[in-house]
Amino acid sequence: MSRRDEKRQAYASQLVPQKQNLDADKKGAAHLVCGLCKHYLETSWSADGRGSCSILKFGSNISANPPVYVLEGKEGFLTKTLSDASACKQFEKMQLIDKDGYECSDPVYRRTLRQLQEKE
Amino acid sequence: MAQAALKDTSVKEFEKKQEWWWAAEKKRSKRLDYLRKAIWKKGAIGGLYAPGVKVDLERAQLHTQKAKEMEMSPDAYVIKFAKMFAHILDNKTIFITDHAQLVGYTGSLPHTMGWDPSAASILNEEAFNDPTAIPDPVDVNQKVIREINNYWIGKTDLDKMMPVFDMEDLMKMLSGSIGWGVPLARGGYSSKDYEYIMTGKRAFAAIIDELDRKIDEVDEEVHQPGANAEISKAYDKLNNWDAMKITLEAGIRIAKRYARLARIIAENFEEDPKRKEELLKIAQTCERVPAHPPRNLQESFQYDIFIQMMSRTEAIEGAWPSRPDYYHGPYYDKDVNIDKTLTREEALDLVGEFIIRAAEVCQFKPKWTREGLQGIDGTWVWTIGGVDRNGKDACNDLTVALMQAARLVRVANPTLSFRWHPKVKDEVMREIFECNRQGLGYPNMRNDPILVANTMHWYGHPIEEARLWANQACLSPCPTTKHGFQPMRMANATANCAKIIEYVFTSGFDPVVNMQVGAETPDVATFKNFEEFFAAWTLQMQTIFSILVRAVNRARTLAPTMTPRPFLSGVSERSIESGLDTLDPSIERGNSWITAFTWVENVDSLAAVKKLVFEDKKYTLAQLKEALAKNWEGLEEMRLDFVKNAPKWGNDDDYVDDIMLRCLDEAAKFSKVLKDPSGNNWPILPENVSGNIHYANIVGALPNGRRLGDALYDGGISPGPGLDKKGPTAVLKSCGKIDHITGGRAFLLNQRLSPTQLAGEKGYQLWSSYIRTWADLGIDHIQFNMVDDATLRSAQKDPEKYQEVIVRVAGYSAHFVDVSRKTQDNIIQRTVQGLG
Amino acid sequence: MTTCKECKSFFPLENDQTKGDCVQRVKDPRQAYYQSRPAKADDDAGACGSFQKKQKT
Repeated sequence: MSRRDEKRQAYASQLVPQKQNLDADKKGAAHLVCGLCKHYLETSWSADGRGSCSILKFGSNISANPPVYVLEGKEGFLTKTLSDASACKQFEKMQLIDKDGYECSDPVYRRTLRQLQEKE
Repeated sequence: MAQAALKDTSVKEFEKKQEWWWAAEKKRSKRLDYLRKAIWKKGAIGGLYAPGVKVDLERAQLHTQKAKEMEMSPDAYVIKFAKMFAHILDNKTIFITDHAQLVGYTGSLPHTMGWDPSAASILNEEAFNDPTAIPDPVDVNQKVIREINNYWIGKTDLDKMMPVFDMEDLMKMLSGSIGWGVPLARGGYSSKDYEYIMTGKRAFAAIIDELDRKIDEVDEEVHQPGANAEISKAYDKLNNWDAMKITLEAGIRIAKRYARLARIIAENFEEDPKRKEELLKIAQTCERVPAHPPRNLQESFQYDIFIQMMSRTEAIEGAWPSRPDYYHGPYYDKDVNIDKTLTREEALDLVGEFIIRAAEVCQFKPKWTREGLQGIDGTWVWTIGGVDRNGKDACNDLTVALMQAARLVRVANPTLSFRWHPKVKDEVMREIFECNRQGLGYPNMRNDPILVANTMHWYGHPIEEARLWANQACLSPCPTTKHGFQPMRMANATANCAKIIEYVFTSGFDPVVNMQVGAETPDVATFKNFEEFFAAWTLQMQTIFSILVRAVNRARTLAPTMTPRPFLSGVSERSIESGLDTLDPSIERGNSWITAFTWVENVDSLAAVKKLVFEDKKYTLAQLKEALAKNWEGLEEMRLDFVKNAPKWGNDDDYVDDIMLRCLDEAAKFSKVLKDPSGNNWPILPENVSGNIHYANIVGALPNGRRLGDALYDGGISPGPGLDKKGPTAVLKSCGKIDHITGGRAFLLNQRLSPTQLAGEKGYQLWSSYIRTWADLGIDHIQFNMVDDATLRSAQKDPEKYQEVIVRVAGYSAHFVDVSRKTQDNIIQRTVQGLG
Repeated sequence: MTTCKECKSFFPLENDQTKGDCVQRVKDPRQAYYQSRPAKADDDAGACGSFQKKQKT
């Protein structure tokens, strides 16, 4: 595999915009999602809820049973705000200090909260 | 404030209490007061839009409707695009506000934000995901947005451009760690060929005539017997000219729609004879411009507003490059001083309204832009003062009127940027001082002789053109001339420079976004001396700059065919003449720059490493690396050592100031290695807008003692807040060591001064003398906050009462209550300098 | 069918009576204004909440 192939494998899914479906996210509400974890960071490419994990690396799979945790490597683990993180042992819930939408980083939490609200 | 209290308190009493906003409210005309209060505040508050401000679905629907209709059309893409543009202008809702004399808005209604669904799916997704900005009923309109978005997936500019970028570079950029924005020709800062379009020689109708002649001439040529490469290229030229014509004709038509609306109101609804007369004047104005050149001040302003409105229909504009006193000044002079058709008071009303028309403009923007530009929609930095092409003082009565009107309407955006030179008259300087003393945070001061030389040095603009510069965004001078103007500065050549020093410790791996972004320099613990450390810093700097610049270069190269700008081309002499899209690098001299956010952290960090690690040997690099990785946790004593016992920039200390010069020198050398598609250089421009807050959670711990999450320094070369301990002159002396001509493109310097100390004539004299020192030291920029801590603290406690307090954030001003708490604290933290 | 041309807010073009503008007075929380958008004389106005029958002269 060329270096370029590796990169493509790591990034391609992240760069493809996805069609929006108002109903899809409402099924199967998870109480612990990546978006509520303090290791989660939205990317600029995150308007539809994409981001990365600051602990896990490329190759991890938190929805597998048992989950796969890759902690070494150069490429990060790309995930989504609403990915179910209930089985992830790295999950640490963030403090939602910015509920009024005033602080700078708020949109991360605002979107998560809205999407969770929609699921209820 | 209760109306009764406002009525009972005199202007002088308000001024004495430095409550300038109430004084302004009492002083301005009823018309200006109405129009000022009519503005829907569009700048994001922190990261959110204000209640009631909504995404404009109408434009998105019109755009989508026409795009679908033309899917099978045989037209070239540029023509299709021009037809979409025309369809929007022909069918959008227009409005005329009561008491207004000037018309034209980017959205369909006053509370809407223009939303262009063809720019980027990531922006469309923001619209979908932001229920606070979706018009009511939200559930219904969210479905409308979904339909629009799903149509544009894969068709937006960014979606189309993505496959042509390098995927690795693009991913690094989009991680949000090192850059800001995306490389799009329809999303950034468009300068304009004002020398062609705003000097009264021609307007749209004359250009259309010229285009018809060109089209006929070339069309005839391509149908003569023969075939060659030139003829092949000529088809593209014909398409471009056709597209330009379509947009200009649509521009004339929408102006006529405004004229017709004004007449309908006058003839069917309005009963006040004076207002009827005003409406008929609006009608005459819109029948005249933009088809024909303006004849008076109202027409000139209206012409400018129409051009801006159209440009903002074609593209998402993050700035407002203009030079209003220079291009509208002759009409002010004619109306007020020569023909006397306007009194000074009437003219002031028009000038104030011209500012208000710009203040209300808004286009829906993504999160990173909103957070980076808290409190405003974009950096509408209007350039005033300066010299003409022959070097003569260009200040005129409108220069003064703009500053007087600014104090009356007190908007945070647009702001004014003053081109200072030694021939500026005292009366003009007093107006600048008064605006700043009244807390506007503008005009900022730009050192014209330095910047003219700088513009010539970096890009080779001839002196006559360099003298015609206007800020293209916050700080970067760009000539408003045929080959000098830059049609699009793509915002993603904006580097989060604190990552340079951070990556030296992580060998280029970004621990926040979990990705190898920088260069894989050796483990920092292995560096034996400062030179090895500095070499790694240099390589990281070069790597980050290159990733960003490569993307812009690629986008600019492909823009003429993939994301053309037919309207902007239609008001550009070089495109009318050549038939090439104005974005074509071959017809531009080049005026690119890299905005260097969070630059000074590098300097203080390098100084700390040099002093505490290599000289004092108090710590090893391995220890420091570990401390940074742990975000200094459990190492507070060590952290404070790096804060307190390492030299800091801004104190006239050669130890650290020399490091600044060395860093800039490396960047300047590399600026000439990097080339834009016009073959010109990529100098750096240290400034921050509110990126210092936006990046606070993205930049890790640094050797200057900063922790992850702490606000970064606020200005391009401003010292760290509270770290400039030797007073204002020491700050100037440090900044004056930089060569502001060859060291970089421009350098933002924030200073806070005490409004109490600067009261009265004595205050003006103190400030003047400070400005003389600033000018003598050859510093290219300075801007002031003159609002005291007590007012700012009160505004934090009781924001409702202090809605109108304005502060200087970075290259722009904002209402204090509109910026996030972190930004507010950062402004208060800046040292208040006592002069004298 | 009720059409736009029967409405007080419809102002036909002088040179083409089949087209015109729907002009309405609006007061929002911050300002009052007149708005205009293109309309056709024979557009269905049956579902239009702003329809006001034009008085015959």
